[in-house]
Amino acid sequence: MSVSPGVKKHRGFREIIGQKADETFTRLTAGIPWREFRKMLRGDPPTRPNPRLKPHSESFWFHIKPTYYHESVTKFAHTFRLGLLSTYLFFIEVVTGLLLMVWYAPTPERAYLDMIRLLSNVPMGQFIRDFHRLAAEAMVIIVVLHMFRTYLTGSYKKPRQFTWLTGVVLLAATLFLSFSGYLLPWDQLAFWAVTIGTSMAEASPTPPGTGFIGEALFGQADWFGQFVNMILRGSPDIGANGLLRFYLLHIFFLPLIVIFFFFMHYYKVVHFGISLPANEEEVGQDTANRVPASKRRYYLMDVAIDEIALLSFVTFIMVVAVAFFYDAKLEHLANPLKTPLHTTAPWYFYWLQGLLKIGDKVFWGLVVPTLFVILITIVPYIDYNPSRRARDRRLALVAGFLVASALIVLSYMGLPLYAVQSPPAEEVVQEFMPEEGVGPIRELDWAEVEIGIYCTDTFVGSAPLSEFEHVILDFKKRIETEPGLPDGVGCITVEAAQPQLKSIVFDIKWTDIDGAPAHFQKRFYWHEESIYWEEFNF
Amino acid sequence: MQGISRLIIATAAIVGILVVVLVYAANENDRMEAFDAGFRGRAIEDGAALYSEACATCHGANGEGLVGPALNAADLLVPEPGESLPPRVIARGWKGDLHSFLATSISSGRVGTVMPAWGQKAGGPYSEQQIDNIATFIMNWASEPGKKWGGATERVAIGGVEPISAPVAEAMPSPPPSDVRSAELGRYLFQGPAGCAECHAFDGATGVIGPDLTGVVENKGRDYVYNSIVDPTAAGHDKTVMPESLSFSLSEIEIQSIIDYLENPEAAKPAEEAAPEKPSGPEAGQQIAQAQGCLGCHTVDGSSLVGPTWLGLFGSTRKLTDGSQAIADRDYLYRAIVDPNVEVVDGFNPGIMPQDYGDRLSEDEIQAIIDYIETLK
Repeated sequence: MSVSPGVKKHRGFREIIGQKADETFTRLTAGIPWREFRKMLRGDPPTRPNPRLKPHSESFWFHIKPTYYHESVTKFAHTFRLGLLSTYLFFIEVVTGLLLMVWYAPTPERAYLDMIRLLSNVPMGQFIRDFHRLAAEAMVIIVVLHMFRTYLTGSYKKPRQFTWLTGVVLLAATLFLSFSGYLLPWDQLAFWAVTIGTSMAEASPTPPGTGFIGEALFGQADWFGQFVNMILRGSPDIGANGLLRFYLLHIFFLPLIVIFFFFMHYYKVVHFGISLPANEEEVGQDTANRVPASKRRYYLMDVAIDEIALLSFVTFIMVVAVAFFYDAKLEHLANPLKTPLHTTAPWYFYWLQGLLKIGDKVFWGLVVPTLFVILITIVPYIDYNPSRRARDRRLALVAGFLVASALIVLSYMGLPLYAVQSPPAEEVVQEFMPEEGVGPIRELDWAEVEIGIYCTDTFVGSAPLSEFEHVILDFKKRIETEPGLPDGVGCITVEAAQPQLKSIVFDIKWTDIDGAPAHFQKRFYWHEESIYWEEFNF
Repeated sequence: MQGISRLIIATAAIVGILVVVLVYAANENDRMEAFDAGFRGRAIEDGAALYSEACATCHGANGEGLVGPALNAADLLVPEPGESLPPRVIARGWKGDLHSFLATSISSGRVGTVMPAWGQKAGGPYSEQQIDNIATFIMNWASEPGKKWGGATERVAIGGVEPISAPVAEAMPSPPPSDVRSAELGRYLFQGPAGCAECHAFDGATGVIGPDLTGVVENKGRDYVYNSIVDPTAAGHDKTVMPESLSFSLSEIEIQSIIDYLENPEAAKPAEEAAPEKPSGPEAGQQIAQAQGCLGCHTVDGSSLVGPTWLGLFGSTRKLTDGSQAIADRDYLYRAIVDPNVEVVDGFNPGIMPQDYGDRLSEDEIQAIIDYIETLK
C-alpha cells in the first residue's frame, strides 16, 4: 500500500491521541481494537478477517482456551460447566489459602491460638476462613458430580480414556486436600477426625510375601500398616510431626499434584474437544473437533460471557452463604486424652465409615474400597461398548446408579446417629448440652437459665412457660420416654459458680437391667459471653 | 437478548458481592470484639472444669482455701489503690502481670509445699493453654472476691412462684458465742475482727507497730492491760496510734475474753490442737490424707485423676514404667509416699507427687495413711 505524500501530514491532535489510545487498547486486549471490542460486547458478528481470534494466539491465558466450541456442548445442561466450576473453586482455594497462611504456623502450640487470633483479631479473618472451608466442601461435591456426569454421558470412551484417568487422580487429590486441611486448626474435630482417618491406614495389612522387608528393616513381619502410619503421622500418634506433615501435604504436595494433573487433564479436554451429545454423532465416531462454521460459538466474547455470568453468580451465592449462613467449625483445643462423643470422619468419608460398620475391618475397610477405586480408575479400559447412547448402555447406567445409591446408603450408615450409641443417659445429656456446639440449653438467654435444681419427677412449670421451662419439660419427656432408662429421674442443677459463670449439672438416675439403681452425672460450665461455633455469625 | 440478560446477571452478582462484603466488613470490629469476649468465656468454662478436677481439693471449690491458700481472695486478685499488682503478688517480688503470676505458679508449682508442678514443661499433665485457662478462671473471681457461690435449692416452677435463691452467705468458721466470756472468744477477736493482731505480735501474730504482748498480763497485771485497751492515752501511752474506740466497739465480756486469751493463749486452742494425739488407725489416716491433699490426686472410688486411685490398691500387682512389677504391700506404699519418683506406675507421670512427704509427715502419720489405704479394697 503506497501512501501518497502530504495526505497524512496534517493529522490533527485529536486524531493522533485517538490512534495512540486505540493502539494501547489493542495491546491490552491482545489484539482487539476498541471498535471491535464494542461490537463484540454488543454481540455483533466479527469483521473479516476475525480480529477476535488474535488473543488466542497472543496471550498465554487465552491460548489454552479453544477459540470456539460446538454450540451443542455449550448448552448448560450438557456439562453443567462442572469442570469450569471445579477449576474456579481450586483458584479460590489457592487465593484464600495463601491469605490464611499469613496468620498460621503449623505447630501444636500455636495452631489453635492462631485460629483464635485469626477470628478475633484479623479483619475479615473469619470471612476468609469460612470461604476457604465452604469452597473446599463445594469443590468435593462439584468434582464428584463432574465425574458422575462424565460417566453418564459416556465421555470417558475412546479417545478420552486418559482424560478420565487424570480426572480420577484429581478427584483423589481433591479429597485428600480437603482431608489434610481438616487437621490444621488443631481442634477436637480436626484431631479426632484425622486420628480416625490415619487409623484406617494403620489397619492396612502387610501385602503377602513382603514380610521379609519388615524383617530386614523393622525386625517384624507385620510392618506395612505401622509403616504407612509412621509416614503419615511422623510418630505413633498425631503430634507436632503429624501436623507439619499434613500442613506440607495441604499447602504444597497435593496442590502441586492438582496443578500438574489439571494441566494434563485440561490439555486433553481441549485437544479432543468436549464430547458432543451422543445422539448428534454416529456410534463409534468422534466428531467433537470437526465443528461446521454454522455451529460455532466463539469463546470471545460469547462463551466468555456465559462463564463470567456463571462464576459471578456462584461467587455471589457463596458470599451470601458465608456472610449469613455458613460457619467453619471450630471446636475445643485438641485433647489427645479426651475422645469426644460421636467422633466422625469428614462427611465425604462417611461411606468408608459405613463400610467399616458392616464387618471385618480389613475386608470392608480396605479391600473393598481399594477394589472400588481400581474399578473406577479402569472403567474406560474395561467398558468395550463403543456407544455413548443411553439406550445402548443400560448395564453401565444401572451399575452407575447402583454404585451412587450404595455410596449414599453407606454414607447414611456412616452417620453418627447410626453409630455405636453411648449409654442412653449419656446420649440424653449430649442432646441437651452437647460437648461441642450449642444445643437447646446454650441456645437460651444466659440470664433466663435461672439458679435452681429442676428434677423431672417434681417439676411442673409455671404459666406461661418460659423458654427454659420448655426445655426442662422436653428433658422430662425425653427421660420418661427413653426405653433405656426405666424409672428414670433426671435433675438439672443450675448454680452460680463465679461472676458470669454458671455450673450446670445433669444427674440421671434409673434402674438398670439387673434391677440395681444406676447413676450418671455430668457437669458443664457456661459463661455468659461464651460463643460456640454455631454462633459465629456476624 | 440472551447476551444482555447474562450481562445483567453478572453485573447484579458483582454488585451484590460488593454490597454483602462491605456490610460484613463494616461489622467486623463488633464481631471481633464479641468473639474475643466469647473466647474468654470459653476459656473460663474450660478453666472451671480443670479447677474442679485438679485444684478444688486443696484450694476449695470456691477458692476459699483449704490445704492450699485462698485464691478467691482480694489480696491475691485486686491491687491496692496506687499499686499495679495485688499484695500477695508484690510480696513474691513478681515483675509480670497477675495472669502470668498465676499461670507460672500453677505450671511450675511451689517448691517446699504440697503444690506440684502442673505444666507439661515441668512434667505435669496440663498444656500451656489449659494452665492459661485455669489462671483466667481464677482471675474471674476478682470482681467479687471472697464471695461464696453455689447453693441452689430445688425448684418446681420459675416465673415468680418461688424466690430465686440467693448465693449462700459467706462461709466463715463459726465464731464462739460473744456473750460468754472465754479465752476462745478472745483469741477469735484478737486474731480477727478486733484487729489487734495487725499491730501486735502474740501467739503467731507478727504485728510490729505495737509492742509484743507475749507475757504482758503476767508482767504488768490485768488492770494495766484493761486500761490500755479502753483508754490507751490515760494509761500512759502518750504518742500511741492505738485506736481510742475499742471501748465502744467491744463489750465488757469481749474485752475480758481478750485479756483471758493474753493471759493464757494455750487455753484458747481448739481441743484437738491442744491435745495432740499419736495418730493411728485408718480413721486418722483418712483425716491426714484429706488434710495433706492426698485425695486431690488419688481418688478412693476407682477413677484415676493425676495419681492412681487408692481403691483396690493394697495387695494389687503394680506395673511400673520401667517394665518391672511390684506388689503393693505396706513396704511398697511406704516407699511410694516417701520417695515417689523411684517406682512410678505405668500410665502416670513422675515428678507430680511432692518429694518431701517423708519430712513433712511423722512416721506414725505415714503408717496411719497406709492403714487407711489398706481398708480400701
